[in-house]
Amino acid sequence: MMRKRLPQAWRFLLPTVAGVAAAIVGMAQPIHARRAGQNVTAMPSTSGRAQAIAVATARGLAYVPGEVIFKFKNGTPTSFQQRALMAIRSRPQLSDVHWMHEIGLIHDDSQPDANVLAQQLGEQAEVEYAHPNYLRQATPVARVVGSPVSPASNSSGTPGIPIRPIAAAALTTPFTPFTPNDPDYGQLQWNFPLIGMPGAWGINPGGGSSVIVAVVDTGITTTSQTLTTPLWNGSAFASAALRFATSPDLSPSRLVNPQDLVFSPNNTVLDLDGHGTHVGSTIGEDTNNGLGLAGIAFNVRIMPIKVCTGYWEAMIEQGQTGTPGFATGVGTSCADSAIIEGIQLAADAGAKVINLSLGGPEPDTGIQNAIADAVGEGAFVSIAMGNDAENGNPTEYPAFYAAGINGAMSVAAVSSTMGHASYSSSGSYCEIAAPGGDGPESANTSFVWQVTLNFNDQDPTLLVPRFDEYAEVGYSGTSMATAHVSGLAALIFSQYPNIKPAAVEALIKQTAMNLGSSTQFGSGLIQARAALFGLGIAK
Amino acid sequence: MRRRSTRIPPAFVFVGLFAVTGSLAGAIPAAAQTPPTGEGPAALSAASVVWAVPLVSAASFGWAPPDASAVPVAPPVSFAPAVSFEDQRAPYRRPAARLQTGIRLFGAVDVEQMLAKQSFAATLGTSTLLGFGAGVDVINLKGGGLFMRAAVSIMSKSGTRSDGTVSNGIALDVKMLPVDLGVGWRFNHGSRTNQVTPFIGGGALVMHYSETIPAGSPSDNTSAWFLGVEAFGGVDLRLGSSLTVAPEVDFRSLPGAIGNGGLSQVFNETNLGGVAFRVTVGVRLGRR
Repeated sequence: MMRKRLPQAWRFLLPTVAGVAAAIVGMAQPIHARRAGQNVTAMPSTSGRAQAIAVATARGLAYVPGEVIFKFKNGTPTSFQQRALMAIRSRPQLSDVHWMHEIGLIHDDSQPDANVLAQQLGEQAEVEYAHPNYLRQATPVARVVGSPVSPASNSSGTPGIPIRPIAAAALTTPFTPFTPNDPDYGQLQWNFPLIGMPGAWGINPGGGSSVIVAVVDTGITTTSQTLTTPLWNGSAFASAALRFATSPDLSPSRLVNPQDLVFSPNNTVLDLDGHGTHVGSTIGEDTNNGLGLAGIAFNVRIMPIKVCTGYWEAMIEQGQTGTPGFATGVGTSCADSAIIEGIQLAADAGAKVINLSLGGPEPDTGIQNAIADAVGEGAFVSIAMGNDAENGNPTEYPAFYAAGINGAMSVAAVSSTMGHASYSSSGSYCEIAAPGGDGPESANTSFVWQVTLNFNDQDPTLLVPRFDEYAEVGYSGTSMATAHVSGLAALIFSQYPNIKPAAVEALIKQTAMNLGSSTQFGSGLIQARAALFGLGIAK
Repeated sequence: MRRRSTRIPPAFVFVGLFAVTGSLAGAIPAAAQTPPTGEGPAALSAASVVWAVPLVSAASFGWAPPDASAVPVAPPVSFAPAVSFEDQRAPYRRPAARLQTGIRLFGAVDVEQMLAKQSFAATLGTSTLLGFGAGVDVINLKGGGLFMRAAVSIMSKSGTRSDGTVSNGIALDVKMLPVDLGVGWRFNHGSRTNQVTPFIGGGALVMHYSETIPAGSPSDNTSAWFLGVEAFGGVDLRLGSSLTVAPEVDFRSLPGAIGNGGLSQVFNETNLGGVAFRVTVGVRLGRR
């Protein structure tokens, strides 16, 4: 599915080494938070979903065992719906179905093969479609870690750019390109000048707070606290203190309505991967505050929706359920059911932009329906093309669906030289391109740099990584490209009040820089300044 | 202008001539007949025509001559020398008008419906623009109905840039300067009595078009000349000896002037022309 350039070994080596060390010293007490004043509480019970997903990925399954997503035909009476469910061996009741609007999710432990379940249910006359609850990936092609970023380094921080009030009269004041004062903007963020961001910021500095961008991903940490939980240390379970903190360059006040649909079902979101935070930072990292790096729409609000889990979520759940061992072979995966629900929650919450930096080779009509419904509710959806150009270039979903939905766009990645990124999937369903980075890992321009979790802070006395340490981290992939389009869409929604998602898509396409092959670049490279500047009659 | 002494409809002139040629002599009372003057009809004055008309008119309305027996009959009178009817008519036919070339200066108000309806409506809120201008018609060229026109008008309107569906609030000023260079034909031009003179024409249209974005950079602006064609037609209404008002319709075509960028490309609208309803108010200089 993904390019195997990302070293995963540290995920397993670190706890192993630490566990051995802990076992040697007989360490069984919690590791206390370093940060003074941080609350230490027990981690709430998790949903168990992460462990189920981990088991599936560890077995190489493309779906969650025993789970089927389905939809009854419109107008089917409940008695007939119940009759259709009887086709499944466990004979579930309608009340056992987890409903996501009109889309249902059924779990049947008696039949772990979801393909069989889907076939049994799909053969019923009342069922419009049924398919396994597939797993998708939200993984960058490559990752490098740069300078750490902490709030303390914000000593020279200056206030962000004030939100420009909506002008009653037409704008006539000359626009001047804007260069943020974030210290590493000029050195690392080649991607923003490439799409005309300085000029775009001159027109619309960071968008408006009325625009909500939902990041359906691994989450963006919305709380700063230490949570204790049992963790397998290699020989036994030890109570570990996991330190979480919000990004120092993504103000918590801008994080709204967080939703965790796969791990810890409460009103906070924890990112244990960094992917979601990176994507969210590209969309709207705090900018012109003298700290770290810049984001595109730095005044909009961001709605973190956690639908993906990985190794650490699985480890925590194993600890809570008393399952010994390490969650080996577990990658970051996102269940379709959570993606569907996340899209629906975002649209229902009034999000104007939904970022889907995830994908996989399995089609899912439920996701297609959810995207179409979200667009119908006024949300623009940006979807990653996928990073599998060198892995057979399979058709990627849900990117494939974007081509058929005006208001949803599939996004390919380009390098700093505006060439096709070697990993970026291509196909007739490609609609637009944005910077994703590509090239040797020694070059800054091979990556899109944002502030996200710093997993390089590997204190050997710790059992687990620091989820409260942040750094400037370079990722490459179509996930990053997708975040650029989402950020631009957020600015467009700010600049064009009441614009519809289909018009956003049309505008992005119309103002894109044509790069040639439509299967690789779609309409071309996004041009933020041109999109915000709009169109006259002749030019 | 040359003024006529009496305004007589041509038909009446013709009938009057007919009455005095002798063709109707038998039906005209001898007492009423004009004694021979030897001058012949060629010398018929306008006054005599006026005189003749009632005779014919009376006869045609049932007037009957007195009983022949009660009225002494004079010997037949004949004009000498005798002339044919055709010979008598010819001298009275108005010679073909050969009017002097004149000029008509006019001011104009244009209301133009642009052909690129969607592009203009999306940015300016309307695709109908108001223009003001002035021009000159050189009329009666070669003594006929041919005329030449040169006119210029200016249309301007402000709006905002857009994506084609909604405004983005960035001001946009559009100015158009159409210059008409045309020739045409004025019908009924030879008559000095007509109050209504239809005309048609066509020619070249040179248009300067500019879009200015005050908040943008100079490279964001558009300023260019385009060449196209136009056709027009209308009626010239005389309001006085020299004052005329002429409503007309102009069709202007500037194909390919737009459509290579902006909303015109989005909407596939390539013609910068339109259909203009124009009203000119002119003053005619020189003799008619």
